[in-house]
Amino acid sequence: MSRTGAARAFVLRAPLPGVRASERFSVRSTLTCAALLALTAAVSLAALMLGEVVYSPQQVAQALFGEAPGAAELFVVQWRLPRAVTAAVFGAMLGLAGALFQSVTRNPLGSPDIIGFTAGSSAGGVAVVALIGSSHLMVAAGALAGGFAVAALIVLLSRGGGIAGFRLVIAGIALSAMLSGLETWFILSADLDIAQVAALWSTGSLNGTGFTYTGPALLAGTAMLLVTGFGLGRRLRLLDLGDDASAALGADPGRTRLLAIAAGVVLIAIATASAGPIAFVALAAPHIGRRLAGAAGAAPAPSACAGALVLASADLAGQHAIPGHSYPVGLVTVAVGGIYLITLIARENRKGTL
Amino acid sequence: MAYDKHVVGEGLSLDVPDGEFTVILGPNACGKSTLLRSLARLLKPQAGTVYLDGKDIHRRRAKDVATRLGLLPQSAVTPAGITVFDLVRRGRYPHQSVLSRWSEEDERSVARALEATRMTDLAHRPVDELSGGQRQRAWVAMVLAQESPVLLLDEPTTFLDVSHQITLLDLFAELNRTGGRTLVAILHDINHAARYAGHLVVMSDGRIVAQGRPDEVLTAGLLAEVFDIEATVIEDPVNGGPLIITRHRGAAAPSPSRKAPQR
Repeated sequence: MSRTGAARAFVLRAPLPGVRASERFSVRSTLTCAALLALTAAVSLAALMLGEVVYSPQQVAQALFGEAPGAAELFVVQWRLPRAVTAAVFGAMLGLAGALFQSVTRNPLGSPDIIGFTAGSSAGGVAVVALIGSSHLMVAAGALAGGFAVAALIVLLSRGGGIAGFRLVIAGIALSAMLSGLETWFILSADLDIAQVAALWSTGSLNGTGFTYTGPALLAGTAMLLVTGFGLGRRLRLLDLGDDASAALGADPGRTRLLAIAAGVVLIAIATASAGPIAFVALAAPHIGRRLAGAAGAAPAPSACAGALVLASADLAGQHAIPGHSYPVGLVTVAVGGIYLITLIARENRKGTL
Repeated sequence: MAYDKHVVGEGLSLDVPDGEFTVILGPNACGKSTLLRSLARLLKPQAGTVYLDGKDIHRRRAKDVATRLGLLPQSAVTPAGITVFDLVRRGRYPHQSVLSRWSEEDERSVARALEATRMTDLAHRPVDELSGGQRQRAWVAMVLAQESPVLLLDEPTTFLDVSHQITLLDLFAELNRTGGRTLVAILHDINHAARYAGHLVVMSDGRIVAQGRPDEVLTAGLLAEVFDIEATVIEDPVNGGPLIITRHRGAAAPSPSRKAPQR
């Protein structure tokens, strides 16, 4: 370390060689996102090809550009494309929501699945299906209301301790358990055919996705992704430096948290309203994205890209992994995510950071 | 004055002189940090007002204040794996808007901040792999990249060894002298305060007990009153200015003279 010499004025220097800042900080992150998106595209292509009738990539391309016979067009564009697009976009939304919550709670377990937002949205949606009716808009409103109710409860319950750490996770696990009990009660007390609709919805599935049905959710979700990514990314990176540093740099940490929670709940609710609760993507995607991008702290873009890949792959596996059987994507993510959660808890426990 | 602040909180008033290196001294839990946090707009005084550039600091937008005033907080969190460069560039936030991308000016500010703190060569190293002194300098660079004329430093030298403390304090003195920045720092070492401060503020029990030039403020009587220590103030034989020598229990009889260079 050099000793301070005589006083000298600030020296204005040309940009440092090799420190082209604009490249420096985003090159790995950008590459990671590009790679994840390319993989997602590959998985989506596979999803367009596979099914009862298998098409070659050329046939898929022809169908997409409207040059294929009617049957191929029907299978690829009408049936498989909406589902593939929905899987990627909803995955990105869940991934981003997870990144938001993990950043706000400063806890790798602070994902919406664990702290009860997903359960809240799910219970809200099921309540609407069972008590009012299964119109898309009503279910969406129910999921949104459920999500915000849980958010309000969580903020209240973890008051004093701050919305961070272990306390939040514990409060969330308790809330999730209560909410799934409530959900079961709604399903049991409803008429049989309604109960079946509600139960099916609550496993989380992309079955029967079509552009007319899911289109508005896709548009709203994409808009939310962009607004949140651009609007909150920098604020979240300041929050990573601590509350005082963030406030001193002009970004009120309380406001950042509030905005992030609100955005996260809306993202979760939009996806949940259309597809039902899809677990664990929001937990795992940010970890995968952050690690691949080598990012410190919040990494919204890589998390969203990882989410897209995870959900697209999970849906592909659910449909085609076991020939002759098609499983809801929610079932796949629960099975795979459960294993992931156990390893994560074991590792955090060893580090003592839980 | 351009950056002058005037604080009235719990009945205390303070003027921070423009272009000076002001040091706040005082025992633990006397309200130093609270005072600094009020100055930094992190706390709103229940009664009274903090003025920055003659305007109520709470009536200004947080981002505007951040372009005038930088803070090195005590509670800073270093995200795992963050590089020096990534940390420093986050200091540019108040100068950026939602849509603006990284500009030439951002780049120059970061390069200047790294240069001033002599961190340029370490720019790509992860902060958590650096020594304590280097880590603190990386944080100072982050605050410098903010390009604010006023810097508030909350115990910047705590947990550093002597050599790192002096390097850092010399850096602050340089920023004050040649960079023309107004500095307000909380320090614990009375002799460091005596040597580096242009203006010294001594606090005790939530009150400001004395303020002024260090050689006027630091007297054996004041040290006894505020810190409950028995001390002799002599002329610093190397740097000039006051030097405080504390007496330890069981030591030889006190010398009553105030300016008596011994040895």
